[in-house]
Amino acid sequence: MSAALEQLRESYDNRHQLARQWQGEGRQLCGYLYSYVPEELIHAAGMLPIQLTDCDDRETYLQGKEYLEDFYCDFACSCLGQGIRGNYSYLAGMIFPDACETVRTTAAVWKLHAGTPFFHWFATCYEDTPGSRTFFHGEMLELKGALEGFTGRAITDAALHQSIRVYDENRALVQQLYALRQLPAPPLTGRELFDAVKAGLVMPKEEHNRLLRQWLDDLAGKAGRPRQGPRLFLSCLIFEETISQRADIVKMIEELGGDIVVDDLGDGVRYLSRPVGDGADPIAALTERYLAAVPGAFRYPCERRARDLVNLAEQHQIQGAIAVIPRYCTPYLWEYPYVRQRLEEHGVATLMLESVESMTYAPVRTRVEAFIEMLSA
Amino acid sequence: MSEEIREQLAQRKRQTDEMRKRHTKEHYQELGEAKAKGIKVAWTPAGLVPELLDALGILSCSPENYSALCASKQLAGKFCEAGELRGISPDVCSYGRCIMGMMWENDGPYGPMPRPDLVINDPTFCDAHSKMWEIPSIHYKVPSFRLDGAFRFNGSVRQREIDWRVSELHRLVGFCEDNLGVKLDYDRFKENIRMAGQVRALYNEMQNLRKETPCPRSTRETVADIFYLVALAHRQEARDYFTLVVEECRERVKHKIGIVPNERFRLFYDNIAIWYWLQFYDYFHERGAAFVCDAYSNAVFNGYYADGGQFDPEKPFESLALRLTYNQICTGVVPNLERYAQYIEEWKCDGAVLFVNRGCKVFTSGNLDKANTISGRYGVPILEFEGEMADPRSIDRVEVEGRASIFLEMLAARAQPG
Repeated sequence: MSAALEQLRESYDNRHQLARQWQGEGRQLCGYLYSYVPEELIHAAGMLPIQLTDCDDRETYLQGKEYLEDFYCDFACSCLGQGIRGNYSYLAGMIFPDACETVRTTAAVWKLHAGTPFFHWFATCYEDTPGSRTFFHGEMLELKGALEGFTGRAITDAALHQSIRVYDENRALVQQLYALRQLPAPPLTGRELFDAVKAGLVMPKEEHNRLLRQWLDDLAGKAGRPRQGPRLFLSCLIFEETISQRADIVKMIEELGGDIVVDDLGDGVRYLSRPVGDGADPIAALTERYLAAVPGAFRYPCERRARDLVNLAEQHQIQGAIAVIPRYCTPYLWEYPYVRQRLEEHGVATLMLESVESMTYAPVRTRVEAFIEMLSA
Repeated sequence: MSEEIREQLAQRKRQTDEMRKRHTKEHYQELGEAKAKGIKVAWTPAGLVPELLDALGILSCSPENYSALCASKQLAGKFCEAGELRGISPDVCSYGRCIMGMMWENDGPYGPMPRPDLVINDPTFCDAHSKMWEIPSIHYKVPSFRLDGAFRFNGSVRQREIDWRVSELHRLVGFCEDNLGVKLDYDRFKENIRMAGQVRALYNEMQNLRKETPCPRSTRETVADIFYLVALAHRQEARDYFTLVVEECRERVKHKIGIVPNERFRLFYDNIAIWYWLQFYDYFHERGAAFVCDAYSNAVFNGYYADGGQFDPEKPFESLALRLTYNQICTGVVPNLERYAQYIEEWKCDGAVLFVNRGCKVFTSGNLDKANTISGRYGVPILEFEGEMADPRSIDRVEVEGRASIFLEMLAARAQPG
């Protein structure tokens, strides 16, 4: 295995330990949720952006459930539980975007109980209109001002330009990895790709870029394994630790002979959807980029999303789509029947797996195995 | 003399109850006849912008209101099932499941909902309101418009949030004019806002009169009153109705005749009404426990006026933008906690009933902190139970009544001297 990939995996597995180490070195870490938050602004403020991730500790998850009722998604409960129990005590700041109704509550309860010194609510827009652009530009400026107020240092345009370059380079590097996954004989598995991408959520972007470049060098010229098995599309909100800890869905699919050709993970393809670019006004560039809706169910009309997914499926000759939907995730639950119908009309078989903390390995494996066998027949 | 006054007040209540039933039927009749008369119909979240749509010559239809009515007539269960059979998850809001079921079955308590010419959604309400309206838009092949806006996470309202909402309302006007061939009658819009302001002021007065002891109007009545704010706030019928309701409330306060005979305890109710089991309130009322205050009828549909706001008919777009912004479900947990504290204190509540509504995450949000505010700050005991507002399969009534009985005994014990 590539040393770079191994280091990426270790960085993710030891993320809290490493975060405390960085904090000990004098860095200020700022947590955030989902890819709606402009990490570049946090970075330009001299803070280290850290995306909240799931944990597999049941007590922590139950702590979150106590505050959020049991019909809130497990990911939110896990994040909140970690905040309340102090898993994220190394964070100097926390930014929540208006991503969904669950985040609205999670953010409020975090503010009340997790005690992060800097807290910011970041409003987002569902539509790209002149009015929303004006508003969202104001949100960017307000976040900038809040970060400056907390850190005590101005965020210069030069610093922002530099941060944008770092993050756009990261997007470009990850896109190169995705492009390798499209080869007839890809030199990396889906599991390896996702492990590399998610490591970038919890480490300095410069370091992530360095390791990705190193891994890409390792992959260059590496003989890949010819694609085999049914071509699959994985639809997944986030890296589903709840399902993946106990039932590592990506590894399971690949072990059972499925070929994950493309995905729409919030921190994968969706995150890469477009770079910020190096416009003269970096705040305007950030506004433009983050307003172009990262195409998740939260803020994409389901007809447009179904059309995009059908196009994606046709472009990549997808035979089957596996949708991992967090239980109680309202936006995905509302859109799924229509999206499924549209995919099936275009000859794409579908399988929905509802992700929930109590999910056990064997039934999931049976369903996935049957689905892949059906497609292989 | 007292009995005579009591009977007069009871008669006035019967009169307004009949008036409301008549207005409700007439409203659905009007919706049912719209197509034949060439009137455009828009499906929207409850009470979204009927004042504005009316000024565009568009009838506002609230399928949620219809599903609440459906539930009250014990029909929602079958429509929820019909929605689920078509793939709608049983874990999503029962209003939505019922609406989709009625749509696909082309049926409802007063017949099917009118086919819309436009569907409008609002993501600041909740995720269901952001997503579910796309389904009827696709089903009927009609345009869908998303009215964007900022969720009021903190208590303060920034001017640019209002500016954005105003721009969105203008965008909606443009969309309707371009897609439905209608034209905004700006004078009518101002008149609608003026009328709606009067209606809301009366409604707010009614809510404030509920602070009196004994309480002149309970949640049993006010959850039905909401119909006017949802559908007819800009119409004379609403002003006529609330004028009579406020007069009755004033008389009750003057003569100390409460809506609940022998009021012993004053209760706060949280969350949406259990539409298929409105007798839930009666259970408490029969035992002298009056629901004197509730978040649903107070802050959800009249949050702006409840928080001291007032419409300016000369600024109709801004007035509407403010009303949308102060809706409780567009407001974060932290500012809402202050509202809850105000309810307990100003309405002098002895106990609180928190309905943990699985169908509405936004309304149930922050329940633990609500409970801590209510009981921790004021020492007020709480009864909690789970269910869904429109799906009758979700509640075990015997079990809930058992809890209610114990809760009432606890209130009685606390009221004992020494």
